[in-house]
Amino acid sequence: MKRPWIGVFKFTSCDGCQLSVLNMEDELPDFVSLFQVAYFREAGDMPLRGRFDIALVEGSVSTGWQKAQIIEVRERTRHLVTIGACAAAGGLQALRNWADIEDYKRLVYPSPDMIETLPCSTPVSDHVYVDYELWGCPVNCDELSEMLGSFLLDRKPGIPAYSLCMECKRKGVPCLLVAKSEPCLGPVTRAGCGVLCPSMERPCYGCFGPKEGANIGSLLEAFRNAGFSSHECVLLLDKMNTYAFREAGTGEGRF
Amino acid sequence: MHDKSIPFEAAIKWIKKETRDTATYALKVKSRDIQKGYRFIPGQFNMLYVPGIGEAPVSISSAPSDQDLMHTVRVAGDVTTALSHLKAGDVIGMRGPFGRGWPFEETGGLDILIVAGGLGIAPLRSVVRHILRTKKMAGAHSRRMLFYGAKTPKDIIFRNEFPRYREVFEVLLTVDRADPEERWRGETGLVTKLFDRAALDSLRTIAFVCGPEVMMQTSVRELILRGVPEERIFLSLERNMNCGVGLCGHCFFGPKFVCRDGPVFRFSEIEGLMGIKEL
Amino acid sequence: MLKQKLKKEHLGLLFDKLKVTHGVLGPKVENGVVTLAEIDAHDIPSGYEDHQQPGGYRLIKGERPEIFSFSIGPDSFKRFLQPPLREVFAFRRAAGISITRPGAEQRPLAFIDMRPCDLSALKLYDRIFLRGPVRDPYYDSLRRDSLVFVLNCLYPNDNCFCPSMGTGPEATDGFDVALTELSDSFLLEAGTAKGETVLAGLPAGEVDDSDMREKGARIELCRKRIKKFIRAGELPGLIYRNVEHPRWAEIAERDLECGNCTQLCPTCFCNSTYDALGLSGISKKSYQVSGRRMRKWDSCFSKNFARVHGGNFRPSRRARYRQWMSHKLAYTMEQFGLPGCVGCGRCITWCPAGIDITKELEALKSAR
Repeated sequence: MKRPWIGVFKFTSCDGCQLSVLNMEDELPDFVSLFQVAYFREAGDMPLRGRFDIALVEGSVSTGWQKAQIIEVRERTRHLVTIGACAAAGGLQALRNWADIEDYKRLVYPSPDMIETLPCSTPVSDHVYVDYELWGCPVNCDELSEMLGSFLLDRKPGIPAYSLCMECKRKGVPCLLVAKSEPCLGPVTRAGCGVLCPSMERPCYGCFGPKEGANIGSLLEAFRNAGFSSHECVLLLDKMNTYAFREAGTGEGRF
Repeated sequence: MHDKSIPFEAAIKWIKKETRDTATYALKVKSRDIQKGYRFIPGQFNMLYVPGIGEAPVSISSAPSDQDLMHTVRVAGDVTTALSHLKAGDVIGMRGPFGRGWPFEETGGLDILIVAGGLGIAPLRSVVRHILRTKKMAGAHSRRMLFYGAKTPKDIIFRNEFPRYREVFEVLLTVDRADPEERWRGETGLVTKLFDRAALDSLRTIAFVCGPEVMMQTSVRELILRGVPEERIFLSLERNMNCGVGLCGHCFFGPKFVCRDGPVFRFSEIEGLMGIKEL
Repeated sequence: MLKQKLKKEHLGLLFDKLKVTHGVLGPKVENGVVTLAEIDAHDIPSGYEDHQQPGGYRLIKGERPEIFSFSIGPDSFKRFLQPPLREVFAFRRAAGISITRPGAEQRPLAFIDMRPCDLSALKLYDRIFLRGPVRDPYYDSLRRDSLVFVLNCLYPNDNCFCPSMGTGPEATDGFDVALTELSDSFLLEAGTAKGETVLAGLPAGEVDDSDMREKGARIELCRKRIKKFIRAGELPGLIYRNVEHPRWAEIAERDLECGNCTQLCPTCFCNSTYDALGLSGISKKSYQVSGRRMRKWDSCFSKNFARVHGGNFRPSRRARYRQWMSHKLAYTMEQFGLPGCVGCGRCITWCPAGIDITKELEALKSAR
């Protein structure tokens, strides 16, 4: 088998998803023996050249430079996979999409004129065709391994698009929303994290983004019935997948 | 008895490309014991398994009396893609046979009408070849008809076998569309168009239908309009069979398990269900 | 069949006896919910009361004097007899294919607090997995060795409707031993020879008419406490006549499709099988792979559940909800001769959106 060339790219993000690649631990030797790593930002500095059989892209597009760069990565890549919430949904930094970027710049930087940035932080799929999106903040190592293995075997990754609740129930974790009126986003969030928060009695805050066909309006109704205000409900969704959750809701910025 | 949830090994004996995207795989069950006990009837299906990729339900396209066990597969999903990368001598997994086949026992003395669309010809080829091979069977029908519709002339599967079919069957072909350079001399249009050409003796007709769901619905409607009794119309349904034995729930069609109660159904059994969208 | 009484303080003896040979499964409080786990007698959350409503569950320390002072939690036998995730076989593909089935090393199970509704679901499971055209060997081996102690109910929760389905609050058959908690003791009634064997050797009190009267009165009281009902006599016709009822679309607006109802329903059995292999299962030599074929609980609410290449038979949420409710209230009866709903009310309690199957059924009767 010819070892495919892989590139790992990074835009606006915290590097956590790239670290997940390095965190595959047991499978890291397999990773390097099965793929030829041609570009890996987190593991060392390399110039961008050549072509890639598969590219893993972390981070959202939030500057003009990145907008150009992602197109170049796409042109050099056969199979483009985004890793993580930033690349799939714009990330936490997409919160600025609901505000005025100039206000933010003035608030944060002493010399706002030096800052070059786009008004919105957007998912990679807003700019180029994406073959596969791996969700999560950060991505799950097992899903990463499944996705990479599936690429080698030429099959669709067996990664579920259903809700976190399914995973919770399989693990026997009692429902926090029903039993404690905790504002858990599980019913509208993709499974995949391995029930990290609910198994610690913490409600899900949506790291893995909206599940396929998420009924956000209905969940927010349940939150309101549990005593949360509409404003609080919006805040619950406005995290690392704010852009995707708002899009999946009844309309941008209003619920 | 062999555990039906565990695949057994089957070696690919040969592969014949049928069309651009469809090929026939002849399989040989490796274990002698299993092979000896392996009996199927036309219309039944096997689960073909490529380890690491997955399983797919595929109906058997050869006749029980054929020497080879054949499956005709169109490249559509992961499993069929993986199959398309294999070659003779490679080994895959197989479970089966599953489901209810075509009711031969009811065809005696009647006009048998086979209506196929696209890849739907595969489970019906099993019937055709069975009739061809068992002369006694052939004599049992007063009339034998095979109507087949494909997208284009190039998509006609088993094209080279039709001359042989014509010895025993009245064969009528139609395509959705044909480019002029293909010099297509048959019909163009829906397979139901062929019904008028054949002057069916409706009360003596028994129909086996398989193809895309819309094609089956229109075919059944037309057959009923022409007076073919609902009890004598049989269809083979497609669903996403996963376990093959009625234990997983994937292939529900209303209260029916397509894997177990079907895939071949008498139309009168499922008449009430056929018209319901998204059942 | 053998009938005897067991003093409440002797309940531990029953556990001690069972534990020698069985994993004893019973109620235990975890994260504020009565769950099912391997327990000892002292783990039973005596005195706790569960308050259930559509989309709500609260457990409080109450005043009830009984040991089994609570009703059902989210878990049922199915977690143990048909687990959420299990290996079907391990595979290796090289020149040929080798398949290795996992060894069956599980200890037999004793269910100490199975409620009559769940017992009915167990009977359905037996039909599905043991009496169909093909037996499920995994379920078969676990089920054959398991012991079922059914506990007749004293306190229903507000979402129970077992009398409507004819499944409770009292169990009449299908158990190894039936327990009824009386004021001073447990009444134990063997239902099978296996059950009688378990009872033999326990300190036995004699059962007289007054005990049987007390049992009857207690169960009758429970029956009166049950608030919800459906008219099961109208099934399955009510469903079949209303496949295009506008109510389905209304439910779809509220339906979260989280799948909770299906995962906790003791009769839901849908599952998916798939090959699990990570990078470690792939060899550099082309075409060699190894991994495990897994079987996982699935749900008709998963959008991909009815997907085939090139299409989905149930693309809309409306159709998926209709499929679930129709399977519960109509199809199962036709498929297996038993109702697919046992009236346990779990789908109502554990639905975050509070969708109530009894109300939805009622709504199907309204004008279209």
